[in-house]
Amino acid sequence: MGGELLLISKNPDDPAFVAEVAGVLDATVVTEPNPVQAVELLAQKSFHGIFIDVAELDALKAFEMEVQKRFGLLGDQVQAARVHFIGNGPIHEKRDAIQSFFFAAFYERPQENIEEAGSFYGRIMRAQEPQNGRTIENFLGEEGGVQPLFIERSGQKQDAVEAIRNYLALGQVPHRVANTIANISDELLMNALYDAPGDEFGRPIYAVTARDADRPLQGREQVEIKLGFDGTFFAIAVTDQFGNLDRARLLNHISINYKDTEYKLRKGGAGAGLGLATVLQTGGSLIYHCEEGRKTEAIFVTRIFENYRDFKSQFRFFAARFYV
Amino acid sequence: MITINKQPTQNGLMVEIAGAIEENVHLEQMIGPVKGSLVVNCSGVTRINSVGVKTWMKYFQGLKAQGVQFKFAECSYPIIEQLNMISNFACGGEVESILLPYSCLKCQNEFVASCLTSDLKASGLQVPEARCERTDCAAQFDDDPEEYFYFLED
Repeated sequence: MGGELLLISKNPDDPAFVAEVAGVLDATVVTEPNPVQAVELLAQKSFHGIFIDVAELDALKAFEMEVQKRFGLLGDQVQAARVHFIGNGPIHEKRDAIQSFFFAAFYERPQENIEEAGSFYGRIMRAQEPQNGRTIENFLGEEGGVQPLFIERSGQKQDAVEAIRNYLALGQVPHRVANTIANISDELLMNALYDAPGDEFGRPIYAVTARDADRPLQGREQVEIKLGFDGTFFAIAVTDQFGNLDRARLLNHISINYKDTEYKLRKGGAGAGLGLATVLQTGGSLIYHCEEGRKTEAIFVTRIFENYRDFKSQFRFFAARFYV
Repeated sequence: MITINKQPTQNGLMVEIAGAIEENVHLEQMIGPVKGSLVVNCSGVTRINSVGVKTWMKYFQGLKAQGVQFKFAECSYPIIEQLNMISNFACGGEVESILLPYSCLKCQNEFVASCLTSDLKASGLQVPEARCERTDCAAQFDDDPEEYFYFLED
C-alpha cells in the first residue's frame, strides 16, 4: 500500500501505535507535534492518513484554523476520510471533537497492548481501502468464513439475531459476550429495517412504524447481513440499500450521555438513538460507510476474549465515512 | 422469546421475567393490572434492546403514575447495564438485589451470584468473593466494579 502517515501528537504513546499501523500498511510515519507546522507539511505533500491527538482540543482547533486559512475546509489536501482522531476515554464523552468538520474516525488511546491495538487498527484501515463493500471479508480473510444472509421480512429479524447468538455460542464465545453482540446486531438491524428506508426525498418511511409489525421487504428494502469469525475477531456488517444516514444526526446520537440526563419517551419510533448509545457503550468497535442514496453499511467488529471484562475494556474505535 | 410467570403474594404480585425484552414484549398485557405492590424478578432477562427499553420505561412510569409500589430483584447484567446507562431506568422503583457476574480463572466457567444492594452499599461497594462450583477455584468478577455499581453510588 505504501505512502506516508502523518502523526500530529505530543503524546509519547502515539508513535508506537502509529508505527504498528504503518507496518501493516507498509507505510512510513512522519511525526510533527505542532499542528500549524503539520499543515505546512500537508501543503507540500499528500499523506495516506493523518493521526491527530484531540485529547487537547486546542491542538485540533489550531489545526482546523490553519487548514481553513491555507486551503479552505473543502480543499483536497485534508480529506476528512483520511483523518483519525486520537483521544482518551470513550467517544460519547468527546462531544467537541465529534463536532469537528474533520471528524471521520476516532480511537480510544490504548493504555496497554499498544502494538496489538495498532496492528488491529492498521488491518481495519487496510480492509477498508478498496471501498468494495467487502471490509469484513478483507479483514477476516478466508479463515473468517464470512457468510451472507438476507432479511426478506421484517419479522425475520428476531430469528436472525438468535442465529447470530447461536453462531457465537458454537464458537465458544462466552455467553455474556454472545448476548451483547446479539443485542448490538439487533440494533444495527433495526436501524436498517426501520430508519434507513426513505421516500424519493429521503424522508423516512418506517421510522414511526411499530417494530413488532411483520412486513415483506421488497426491492431496496431487503437488508443484507454478513458475519464471520476467524477465531480471534468477530465482525458483522449490516447493509441497507438506501444510504440515508444523516451525519449530523448520527454524531449527535453518539454523544448523548443518558447517565447525566433523563431519558424521555417519545411517542413514535424506537429509542431515539438509544440503540446506538448501547452499541457504543458495551464493547467493540463500529464503522459506518454511507454512500448517499445507494447504501449504508454498518460494521461491528470486536476481538473475542475469554471473559466479558476483557471484551468490555478492549481497544475501541468508531468511524463514520460518507461518500457522495 | 420471553416468559413471564406471575405469582400472587401477600401484598400484591411477583413476576419473573425470562428471555429477551424486545419489540414483541408488551408488559402491560403480559403482566396485567397490579393491585398492591409488585416485585419483578429479572434474573432470567438475557438481553434488552432499545425498543424493549422504551416498553419497560413506559410500563413502569405508568405504574409509578398510578401510585403502585414496585421493586426489582435479582437484576441480571442487561438490566444493570441499562440502570447504569439511563439515569431514570428504574422509574422510581427500588433495586433490591442484583446478580453479580463471575468467571472462573481456571476453567472460564461463567456464573452469577445474587447480592442485596443494601449489603453492597454497606460494604462500600466491595465485590464479594466467589468460587467456581466446578473447580472450587477463585473466580474473578467479570466486569469493572466501578462501572457495574455506578447506579448504586450516591
